[in-house]
Amino acid sequence: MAERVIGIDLGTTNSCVAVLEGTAPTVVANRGGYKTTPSVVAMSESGKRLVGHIAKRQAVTNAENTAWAVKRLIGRPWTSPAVQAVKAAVPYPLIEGPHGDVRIKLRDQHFSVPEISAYVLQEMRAIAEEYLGQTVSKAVVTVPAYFNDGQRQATKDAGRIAGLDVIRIINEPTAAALAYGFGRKVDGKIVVFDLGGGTFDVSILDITNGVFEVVATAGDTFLGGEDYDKRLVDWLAQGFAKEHKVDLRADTMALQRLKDAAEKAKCDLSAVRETEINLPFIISTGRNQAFHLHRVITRSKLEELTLDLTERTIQICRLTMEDAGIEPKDLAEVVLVGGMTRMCKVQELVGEFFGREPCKSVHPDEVVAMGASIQGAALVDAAAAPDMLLLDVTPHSLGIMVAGGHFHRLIDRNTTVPTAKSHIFTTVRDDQTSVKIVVFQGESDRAEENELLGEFVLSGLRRATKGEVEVEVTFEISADGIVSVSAQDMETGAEQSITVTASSGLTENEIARMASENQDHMVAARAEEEVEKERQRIEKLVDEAEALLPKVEEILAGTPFGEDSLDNVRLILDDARMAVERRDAGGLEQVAEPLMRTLNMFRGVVDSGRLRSS
Amino acid sequence: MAKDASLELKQLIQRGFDHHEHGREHDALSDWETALKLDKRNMQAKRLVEFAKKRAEEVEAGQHTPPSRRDTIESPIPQFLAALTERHSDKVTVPYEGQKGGDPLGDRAAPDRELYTGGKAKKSISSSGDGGAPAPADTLEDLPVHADDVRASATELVGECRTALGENRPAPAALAAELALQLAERAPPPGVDDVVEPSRALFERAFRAFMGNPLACPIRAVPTETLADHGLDQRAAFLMSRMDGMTSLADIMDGSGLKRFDAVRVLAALRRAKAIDILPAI
Repeated sequence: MAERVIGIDLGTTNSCVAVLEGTAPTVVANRGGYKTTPSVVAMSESGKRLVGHIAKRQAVTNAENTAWAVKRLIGRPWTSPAVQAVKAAVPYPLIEGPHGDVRIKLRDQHFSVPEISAYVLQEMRAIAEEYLGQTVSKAVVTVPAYFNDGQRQATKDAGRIAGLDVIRIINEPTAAALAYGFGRKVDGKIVVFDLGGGTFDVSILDITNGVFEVVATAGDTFLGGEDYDKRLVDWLAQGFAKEHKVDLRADTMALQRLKDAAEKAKCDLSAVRETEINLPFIISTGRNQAFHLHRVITRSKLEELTLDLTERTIQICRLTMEDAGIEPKDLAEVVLVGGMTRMCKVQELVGEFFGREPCKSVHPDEVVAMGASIQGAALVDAAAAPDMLLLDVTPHSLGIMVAGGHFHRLIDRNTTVPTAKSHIFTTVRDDQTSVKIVVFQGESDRAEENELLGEFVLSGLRRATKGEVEVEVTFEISADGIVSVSAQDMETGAEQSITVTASSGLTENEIARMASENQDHMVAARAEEEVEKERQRIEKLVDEAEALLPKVEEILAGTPFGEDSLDNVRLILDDARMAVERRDAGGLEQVAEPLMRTLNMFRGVVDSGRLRSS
Repeated sequence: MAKDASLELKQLIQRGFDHHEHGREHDALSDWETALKLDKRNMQAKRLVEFAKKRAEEVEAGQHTPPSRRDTIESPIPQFLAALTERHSDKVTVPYEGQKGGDPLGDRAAPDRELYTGGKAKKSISSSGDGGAPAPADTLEDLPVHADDVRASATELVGECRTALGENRPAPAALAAELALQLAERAPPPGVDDVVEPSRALFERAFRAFMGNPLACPIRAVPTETLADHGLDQRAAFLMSRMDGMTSLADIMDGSGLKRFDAVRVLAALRRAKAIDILPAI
């Protein structure tokens, strides 16, 4: 059987998996019938790892042990402002890892961010395997276009921990455009407007003769569907407080139910003009005093409550278009991605801003995973997606620190890779014999506010007055995204260089250990499932035997097959029942055979009894 | 399936739940069947249709009694507590599920259990609240109860729980555990925590055994609004809100965020009150 490559949209809030079936990218539903799975991982009180819907549904009541939106953390150093912002916003504890990376504490265990993402990837893999009926080991995983090398590497590492070979990381807007353009002729610039559960991204792609190029990307990692839900939760809670003088948000169980209901109502309002929110017995303030929440919300009310959020997305679009020097009239299509784009107001404002009706032919929740599955199939079989070439761009500017702590850009963001750029610098002090090249990535003019990628020293320069000695610094980014920086003394030709290897913050040994531990966990979980299956089988046999027992006793009464033998079978049934109750694997194995013999004997006795009586 | 059909399917399933909670089994079956027609592969709809058909047969055969206020876990408690105040009483008989007949929990042998209260006369209480039982009381502090009697009863209940569990009678074991816990929660100083608290692991086992297969999936059998009438609190309402016929008891317990003990105790109370129905494991 040919090896299948799955496409995974590893989202901040939800994830989705797809596979190319023949010529059709197919999104695979999970066991609950949902085509997206929450990117949420929790540790229950009993130490059980919870992933997906079950983890999401207890995210408020078990807030300290539930990790969500870890995509905002992946591949980022502890000191990063984004990490500190997340730390202030989430209830689960974040701590500094041994390599300056981020670790998450759930119950008493510490997890790296790629580990948490690995559990989500593993869940997606399991969903695909169940559907395909075969083991899957290769995947294409999508990431936001702005992800840097470290974040991409961390995502790859998450795949390894999950037992997946991530054969390609592709940008989410590229994947969306791929799915949009699959099987149809698309040329020109398209906008991918991606408003998901936790983040907003807008990207402009240029598609020419089957070549997909991201020409600009921007977004807000703290703007998404959850913010819309929160507005609705607050509105409901405030209304309830006005009526009953009770703040539902102070009670975790009530808040969890409110959040669930708010999200559902928000989704419903994309299809209907008003919906009911009915939460019976949401709280009680005393013994047997039940309070119920019942409200009707209209679509226009929701739009009013969240208008500023929707307008923020448009503002980001405006800046991105200006940044890229593109006018709405230059665009061939606007593709909507992310569940929030189902909201009528979002579609309306997007349509108004871009001056065209957004495309509704692709499924906003599924399009990214579908694109990833197309790319995955194309990588193992070029015929699966002919004439398709993905060009990546560097998501951030690259440069070095110069005198005064300023950041000098050599390669601007959104430059198509591979690329190379050089610039000549001079010494800044008299008799300076060496220069330190400190390489950064980012958009701030202050070097220290950007991400440090590495540093090296070029020594042996001729002593001279400042500005006399020239050093050429060259940046190169290969097609694989590997960054090399070199500095050459223009007089002597002496050269020093570094290759920036992306790091997720984990060492090779750590990744191997985590992958092995995860594998062990999976084996143990499967063994537990097997015991449970056997327990259920034995339980059914015991039930059947116990149901037959009175009849058998009646038939055998007064026969040579006496009371002693019946005592023996009663003992067998007791042992079996006990093994079932205790979920004792050894006990279940031990009783299986005598129990089956007993049951067969019972069936025989009852059948012969029937024959006799007939 | 188109988006609107998906929404319609969800609404049909939800409406079916509402019918089922109000005892309108035929309407529930009709909605779930319509949902299944919309998406023949929808496992939730499929399971609910199977359940509703089986339930309809049970009702027709008189094998299923709809839940009522009489089945609450609270009813024996105030009377039991009140019985403790009668200084001349000797034993209080607590009725168990198995006595009522047709109980779906399958408790094989559930004889009366006698709870010693220290006096001499023998008193039997019934869960129906009739027979001139003393007025319910919320706390023992309202009643002239003797601490020694409470202690003796608590000890007896712990023993009863252990014995019933050992004899594979989970329903009485769970009821004894619940009574012991409620006794501890309401006992006047110095209380009976020293008797009851060390037995929490035993009680948890009793509740788990009573709940049966942890992979079975519950659905609501009564409207959540009525839980307070059944003596249940908002935790019960919260757990009920997690039930959809697809999520297993184990997942509800693990995914509730409640303490494991509390979650299984409340689930046991819901089952005892017949506030939930259980669908087989997926």
